[in-house]
Amino acid sequence: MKRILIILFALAALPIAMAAQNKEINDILDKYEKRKSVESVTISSDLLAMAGKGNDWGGKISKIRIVSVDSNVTENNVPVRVELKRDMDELVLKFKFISALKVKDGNDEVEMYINQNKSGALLFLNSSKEEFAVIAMFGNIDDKLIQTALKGGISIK
Amino acid sequence: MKRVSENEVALLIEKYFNAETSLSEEEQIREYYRCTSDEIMSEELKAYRDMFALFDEERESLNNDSVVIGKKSNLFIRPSLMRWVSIAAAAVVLVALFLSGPGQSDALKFYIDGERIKDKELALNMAETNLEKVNHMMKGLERGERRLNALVKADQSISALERLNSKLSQN
Repeated sequence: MKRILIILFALAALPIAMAAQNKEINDILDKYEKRKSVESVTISSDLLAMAGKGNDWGGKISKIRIVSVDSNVTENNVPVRVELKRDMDELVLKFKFISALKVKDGNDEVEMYINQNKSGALLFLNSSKEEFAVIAMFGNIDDKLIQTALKGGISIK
Repeated sequence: MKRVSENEVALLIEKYFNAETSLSEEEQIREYYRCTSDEIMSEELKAYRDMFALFDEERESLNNDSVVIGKKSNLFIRPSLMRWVSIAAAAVVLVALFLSGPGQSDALKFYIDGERIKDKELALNMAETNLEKVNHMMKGLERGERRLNALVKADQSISALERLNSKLSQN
């Protein structure tokens, strides 16, 4: 009976871990979205279902959140973008995201982190001289979706 | 003991996860699972069947053990109860996590400087601008990869020609 219990809890542990991870991403983005000089957008599953029709990523992404911070904003003499980057770096370490790539083009830099799972997350940390943006995509993160993202094929218009 | 209906047992389970049930109410939940077949039970309640059935089995095994152990049984029951309380607490956390996880809120939200802007077009433009920046970088990477592959292929062709040339020179 104890073995059954252990198996049951082990089976339950994965979705719980994923839910905890996604909740923490949302908590971080919630923390920044209502601050000054911050732009934030959350796109619902309904809108994404419409935008994704006929696309490779259609039906896989259930939610997209984007938070963009202006480089000039500081709080307690610390740039907010530095604070947000630090929070995201801690999160990717804590939940063992795979660092898929880092592309640098002049002053622009994109880092891509993956947690491949049926209820996983795809993170892009986009840094430029003017701003720092976090793009978080939640949903069924599979090989096909990752390939589409790597080809620059996730667009909502 | 009074049999409870499906709605009542659902409410009791909710109370159970909030740690508000009395012992008799917990017995009512177990009684419901003992006496109700899977065919007539809703999917929602079936999800908790194993949990309450296991509690039941554990209780029985504790009762049997306590007969043998006698007075020492209290020492055994307490850690075991603590374990079940921990499991119940974990279950409460689990339910809370699922309720507060992503996917619950389906509204399109757009904030600038802390103010909510109700302009769908503007929100989608902002999102697309950010996605486009990432896509641009990714496409640049793909172009770079294609160029690299072309260079590798050219190098392989040149190597083959060089090998052919050296053989012709030997002859």
